[in-house]
Amino acid sequence: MAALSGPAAWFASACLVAVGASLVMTVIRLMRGPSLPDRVVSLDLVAYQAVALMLIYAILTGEPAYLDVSLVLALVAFLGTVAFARYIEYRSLPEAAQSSE
Amino acid sequence: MLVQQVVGIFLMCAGTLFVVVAGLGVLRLPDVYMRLHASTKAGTLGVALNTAGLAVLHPALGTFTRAAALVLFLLLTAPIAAHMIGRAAYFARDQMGVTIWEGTIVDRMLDHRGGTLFASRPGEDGSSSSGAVS
Repeated sequence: MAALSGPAAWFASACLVAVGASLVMTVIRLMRGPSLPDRVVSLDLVAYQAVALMLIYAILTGEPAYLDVSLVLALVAFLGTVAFARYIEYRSLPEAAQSSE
Repeated sequence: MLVQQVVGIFLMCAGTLFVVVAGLGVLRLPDVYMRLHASTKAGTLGVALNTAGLAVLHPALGTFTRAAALVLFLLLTAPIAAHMIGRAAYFARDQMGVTIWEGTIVDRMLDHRGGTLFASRPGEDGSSSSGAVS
């Protein structure tokens, strides 16, 4: 477990910058998205990109602890997405179906 | 050692490329379902390739097991999450104000649901025999 050096470190830094640019694009869609499902989709992708960012940083610095963090973040992102999806779907039901449930 | 570094860097750069494509797709594609398609498939593959690059560049037993657990978990949960969002965005489209791309020519859920496609779209009331305009 050693930190990268030389050209490998340059490649890893370039990958960090690229994923950061992709994160900016996704956040633009998150702010601009015309409907709630658009925002949920982009929030899901933001979590994945944070996982990718942490993985590349773990490659760059040789710190295996970031792998644990990304595992937990993936889990929490899945739970959040499922909660949002259920909220969107069940809010659309008529009032009678909601009260009978 | 050099081969290991080259393979690891290649995997990491390929994963980054897929993540960037996912972000670009979410920004540029015209409707929710296409954005979902870009985000889920390209994002999952990108994160999985980055994890493989980490496992190649820093080989250790703990890294291997946690990387395998992360990839397995992503492959299990990403399709479920995408299916739930897509289903919610389809059934709640009127309440949420979801629009569909005007070039869409077929909706396979119509038979199942019995309603018409997005109400704002013209020419969808049984006139599908007139040909699929792009």
